[in-house]
Amino acid sequence: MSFGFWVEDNTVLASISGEVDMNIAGNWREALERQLDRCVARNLTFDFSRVTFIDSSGLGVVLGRYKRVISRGGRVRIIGANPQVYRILQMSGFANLMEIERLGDADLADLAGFAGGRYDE
Amino acid sequence: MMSEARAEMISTDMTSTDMIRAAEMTDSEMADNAENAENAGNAMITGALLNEAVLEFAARGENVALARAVVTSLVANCREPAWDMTVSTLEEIKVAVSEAVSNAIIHGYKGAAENQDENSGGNAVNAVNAVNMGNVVNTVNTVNTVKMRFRQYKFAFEIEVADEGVGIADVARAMEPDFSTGVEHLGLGFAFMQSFMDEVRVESAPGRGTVVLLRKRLAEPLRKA
Repeated sequence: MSFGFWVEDNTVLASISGEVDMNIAGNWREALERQLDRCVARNLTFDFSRVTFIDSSGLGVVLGRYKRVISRGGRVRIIGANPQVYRILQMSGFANLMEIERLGDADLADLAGFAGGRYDE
Repeated sequence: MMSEARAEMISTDMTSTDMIRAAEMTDSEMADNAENAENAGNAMITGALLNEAVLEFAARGENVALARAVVTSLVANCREPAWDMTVSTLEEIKVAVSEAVSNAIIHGYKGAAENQDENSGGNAVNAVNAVNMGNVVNTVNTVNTVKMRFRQYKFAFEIEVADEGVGIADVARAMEPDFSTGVEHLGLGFAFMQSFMDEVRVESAPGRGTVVLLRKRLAEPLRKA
């Protein structure tokens, strides 16, 4: 479970891996705030391609940053959401707020093989 | 553990006596009852109790993942052949468990295990993060703990998440999607639990702790021909 940031042009790319729950939410929120404080980039993109799980604690961090970025005229995107993460994002109404890009098919095949299961979506 | 004073919010009108009775019924009784219950619009029939496990752990953020992992393992490895547990279903159960346990820590105990840890210094981590599987003993009763009980029935399984925290004054209101007492907590916890499980019950009262019961139906009881 780790997170990091990459700033390119006008966008902060915030990547996080593993299970995004209340255990990581506090530290991640603080790091995101610090990152947004100290750079002039207006847009924020969350890279979720290595996120295996997210619950309402993780979504709360995303929503809080969404409000901040939007209030300054920026744009928020989520990329690389796996099917379960994508479903949670849809159910919680995030798909209406921001652009969400799903994990590619090739990545999904790898994931399904790794998990030893099947996706019934 | 429950008293009459506890506020109770149940999404069905099945009583705990009904549940015990359902667990003791034979298959043919079950079939009769399932039909009657369905006609009356009642809760699911669970069938006989097949497996049970108890996990008690300190109310700390890192143990939420432990709770998810334990439930995932129990659900994925149960031997009932009628079960066809997909990755999606498992993921849904994980979210529901995560929300219930997070609520216990964040709202029930106001993150109190963390506070205790900070006050007593870093060396206390091992002592504070005691985890107990199986019999519930007194090894961790000096810190706030969450007790999770998993029960596998013939036709359903249930996960009970109990804390001894501050409790909830108005359970019905707490279960509304936009209700939240914490900063940046979406209030989506109960909404996810209700979306992903077939039955959600919450019993709580101020100062008396909270018990959340999550149930998932696995297969329908056999019907009479």
